[in-house]
Amino acid sequence: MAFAVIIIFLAMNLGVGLWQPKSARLKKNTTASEEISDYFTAGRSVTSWVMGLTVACTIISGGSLIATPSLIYAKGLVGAAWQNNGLWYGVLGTAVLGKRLTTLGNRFKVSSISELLGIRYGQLTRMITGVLLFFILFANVATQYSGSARVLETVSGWSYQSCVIVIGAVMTLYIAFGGAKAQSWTNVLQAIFMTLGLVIIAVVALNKIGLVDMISAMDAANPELVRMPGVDNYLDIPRFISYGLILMAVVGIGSPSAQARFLATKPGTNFKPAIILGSFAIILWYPCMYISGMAASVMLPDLSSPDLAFPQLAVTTLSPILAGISLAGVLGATMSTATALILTASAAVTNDIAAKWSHKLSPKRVKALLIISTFIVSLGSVLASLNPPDLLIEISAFATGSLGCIFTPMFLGMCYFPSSTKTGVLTGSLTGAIIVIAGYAFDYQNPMGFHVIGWGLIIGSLLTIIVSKLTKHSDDEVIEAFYTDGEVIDLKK
Amino acid sequence: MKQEKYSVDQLDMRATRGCSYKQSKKEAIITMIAYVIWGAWGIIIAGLFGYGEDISYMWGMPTWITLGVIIPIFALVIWLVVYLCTIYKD
Repeated sequence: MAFAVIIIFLAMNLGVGLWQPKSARLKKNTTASEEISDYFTAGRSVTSWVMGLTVACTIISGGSLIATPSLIYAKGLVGAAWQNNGLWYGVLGTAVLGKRLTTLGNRFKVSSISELLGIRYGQLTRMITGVLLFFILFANVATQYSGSARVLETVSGWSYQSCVIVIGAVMTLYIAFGGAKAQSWTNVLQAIFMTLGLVIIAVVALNKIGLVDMISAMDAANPELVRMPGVDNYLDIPRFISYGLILMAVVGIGSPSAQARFLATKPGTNFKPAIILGSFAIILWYPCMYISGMAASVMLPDLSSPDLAFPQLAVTTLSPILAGISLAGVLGATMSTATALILTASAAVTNDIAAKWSHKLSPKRVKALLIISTFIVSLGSVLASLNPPDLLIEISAFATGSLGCIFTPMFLGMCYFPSSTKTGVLTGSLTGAIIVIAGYAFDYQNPMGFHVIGWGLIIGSLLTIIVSKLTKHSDDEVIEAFYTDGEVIDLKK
Repeated sequence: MKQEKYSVDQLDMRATRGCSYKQSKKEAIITMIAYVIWGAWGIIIAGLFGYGEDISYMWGMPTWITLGVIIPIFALVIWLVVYLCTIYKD
């Protein structure tokens, strides 16, 4: 029965993704640029409340839903203390950059984040960020496919490879043909299932064992589970600062796949619903994940892998239908993140790397190109996830960390700091990314007890400021166009 | 590489009060300061009350969890409501 619920959920995603009301379809006689804009920014028609849920779903991946309970199961309550900073994802993701990106995106009529960066910091920046986005996101999509397949595998009895192909086919179909519109509406469905799934499992677990009893049982089983720094000295204070406070901030602010969604809203959008829905959804989801990790630690102490904490808790404590809804929630979290990554990677190829060529095609051909490029990105990720490396979470953390170090200084500079320069942001961002990549490549992730993502962001941001002060500022007209308020500027003058 | 000429939507250059650059920057700075204070609180509480054999308990839970994890969740909700009602402008 749980399997049937998941199949229905997948079918609903396909239906919602492929169906588009007449009013949302692009009119005839469009240009190539309009086709591209419609595909990647949904014709700037996404409403505020859909935007809030889309950003929340994009930031919270299936990895979060699996890894948070898994962490609490294996390392104790330090997992909750660490992940608690993630409660700010929604606030940071929407309130820090959302309104500015919408304003700038509409002002310059751009279809991708790299295109906007290109206008502010030059075409070289557009090209570099496009290439980096494509390769890093490609690896990250593969980890999302793998996570989805593990969930389907739990209830279907199918082989892992079959699960990857089924999930990949569903996601590829609706995202390739539907673009950002499909992504937005499927995200609403996925957010509903995520909320239902997490709340159901938390309520049932609290009903079976109260919160205080859960903590007492964990304390009795292993006192390290309820004390700092957790089992195996997991989270000492320097790591808490660098891997908790800083990583969570860069995930919230420097996530290009989430921030790109803001280009899909029209100017003058009332952002309060987006902030309220995006923030409160995440504030609700995280405590439910904590409770499921604690409940699994008490009720299922002998699991073969901590990653099974959430799926096994769902299967063993809930009725089959409710277990299906809970697991569909995990699947929804994975699918929402994966589709946002696919679209952003596809935009990097067609709108940025191949911009000079793609914008000259006929509208029909450009539409075909958009679908084909999304297909290739998605199917390439399916192939990469058929035989996944053992350390998928590490790849995902590396991708998130390096993207955060690249894009946090760039986004903040582009939105708020007129004095930031092309050389400054490129030096700072690339240095930050190199620090993170080197840390992971040489397995030296905690120099002086501080995680490389923390080092990458701090050193990268400092370099951005210093080099920007030493190098030539951007043209006045670019500065005026980006940072001027309340007056119409005639750029032709 | 040469900077390509871009086109600007002239009408959208007229920023409304809430969408103005200065207002957005103020909101972003306040949000990030609040995040750092909030995160630092959790770390300080974990450092003060989370270590040792005999940790203290509050409301049946370790004090560092009650003060450092549970209360901050409610504090964030209250902060968000105040922020949206008083600081944030659309």
